[in-house]
Amino acid sequence: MLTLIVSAILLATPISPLSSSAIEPPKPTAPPAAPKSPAIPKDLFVTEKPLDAKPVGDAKKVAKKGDTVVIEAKIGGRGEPFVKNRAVFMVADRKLKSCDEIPGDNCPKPWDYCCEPAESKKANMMTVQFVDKDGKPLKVAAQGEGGLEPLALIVFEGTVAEVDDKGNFVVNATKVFVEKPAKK
Amino acid sequence: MKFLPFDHAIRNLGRSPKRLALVVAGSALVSFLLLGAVAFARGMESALAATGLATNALVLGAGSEESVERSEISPTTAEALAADIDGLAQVAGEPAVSPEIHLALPVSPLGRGAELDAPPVLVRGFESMAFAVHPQVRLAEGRWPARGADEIAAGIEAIAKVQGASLGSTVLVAGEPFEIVGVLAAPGTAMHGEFWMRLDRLALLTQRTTHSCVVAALGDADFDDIDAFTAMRLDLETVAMRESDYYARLTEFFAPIRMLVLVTAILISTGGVLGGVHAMYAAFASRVREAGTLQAIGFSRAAIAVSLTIESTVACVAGALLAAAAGLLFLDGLAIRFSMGSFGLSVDGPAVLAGLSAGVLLGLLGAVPAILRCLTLPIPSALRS
Repeated sequence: MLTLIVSAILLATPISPLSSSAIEPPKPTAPPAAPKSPAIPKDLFVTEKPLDAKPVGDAKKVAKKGDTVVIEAKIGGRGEPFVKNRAVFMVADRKLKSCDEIPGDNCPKPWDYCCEPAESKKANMMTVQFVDKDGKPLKVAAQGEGGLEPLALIVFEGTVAEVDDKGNFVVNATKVFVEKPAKK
Repeated sequence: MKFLPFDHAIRNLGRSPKRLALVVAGSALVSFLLLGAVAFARGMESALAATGLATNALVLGAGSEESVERSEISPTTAEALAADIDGLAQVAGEPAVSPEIHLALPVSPLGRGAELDAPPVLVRGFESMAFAVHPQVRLAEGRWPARGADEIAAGIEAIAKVQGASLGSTVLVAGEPFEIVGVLAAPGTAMHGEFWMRLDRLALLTQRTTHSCVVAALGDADFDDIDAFTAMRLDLETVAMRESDYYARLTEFFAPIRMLVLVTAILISTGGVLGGVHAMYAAFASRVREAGTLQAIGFSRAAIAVSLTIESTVACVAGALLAAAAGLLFLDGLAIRFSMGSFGLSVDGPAVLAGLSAGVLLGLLGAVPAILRCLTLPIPSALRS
């Protein structure tokens, strides 16, 4: 905010006679380019379903860091599966029952899988991220992009960024196919 | 329209001192109750807001977003967070990350029976970095508890919750004796009413291997990176939120209690309203002939109504002013203790305004029945009454 205010004052301040030429009027200059806000590349979303997709649980068992994997999943895993301002989100194995699949369950956030035991969640959930050229998550929310919403069924291809025996599994996605958008 | 002189209304107030006293007292009661209810709500809101800082991130167990006391997270969370997040505030070269346990435990004076039935008080297990993330807290007297020792520090209001407790005395926490070695002060926050114990001792006392939460001072770090950290570290099963957001949710959680206090105050003050209206009605009803006379000498009904309303409003506002003065003298800062800590009643501008508004409204509305009684009679009937 302070930078904006200072910039606004500097832009609004007339150029002093000492620094400007009295003969030649100052040439109009192009305004400085605004820093590009990071965006999720549109070509990341594909219209053809990647082949040979594995469920999350199966992929977690065999994948190693650096492997290219194709995984089918459902978006969810906690109350807020999407991280705000970071292209990071959680997905779950489709075999897990989200609360909307349980008759009579009126959970306000059915994508949090609150009815699943902790061990099952740990074994069948993972994290997906869209990264920049330095491998850091893009500083933009992924929710809403290309149909990414909680409970949407997706198939994605990417590289394993993190995997360990504690249940952590992070994939840098390079292709995402939204197989079935979330129910409205 | 020709109005009655203002001092006519004022002088009339002194015609029946007992009735005036009744009206003023009724108005004062109504205003005082409403002022107290608003002071309660404002005090609770401001204490909870001051307890949570927007510059702190709170990492707690997934699914326990509503209550840090229910939260259980791995003790490795603080270390993992400190190692993974760049830019966190630093103290002596260490990231300002404070693992904590928050529990409501029964605290009672030593030597009393039924210690486990004592009312629960919030006990916070802390490490040294807690002072970096909670700058509102300072040591008022004594010293901080030592690691592993049966020692505890008590907030000023926490001490007041336990009869006979003082610096150097021993209290029973969940049935075990602890010496109060320090008094902590965090005025204006809920922590003012908490007990603080070393993290390891509280874990031993409650036989738990998990922590409740980790509080991290953001410094130059981005909160979103901490949120992303919790999404990637599935093994920790945590979520992140700004500490201020957590306490804002807590404020929402307590909204029904504030509403209950307000409704109770309104219900009780209804008695005061009825008493005041009745007293005014009686005061004006005996002046029907006077009203008839005023009409007979040329004053309109509206002018008489205005005069009666001024009379009623002045009396009620006097009561409201007395209530505001009493509120500022006796209620402001008065500690209310609850299981989450404590907060002080806040008799601030809105609270005083609520009290004064109640007085003005009572004066305006309370005069209506009496005015109707006085001015609906035809002049001959009024003069004969």
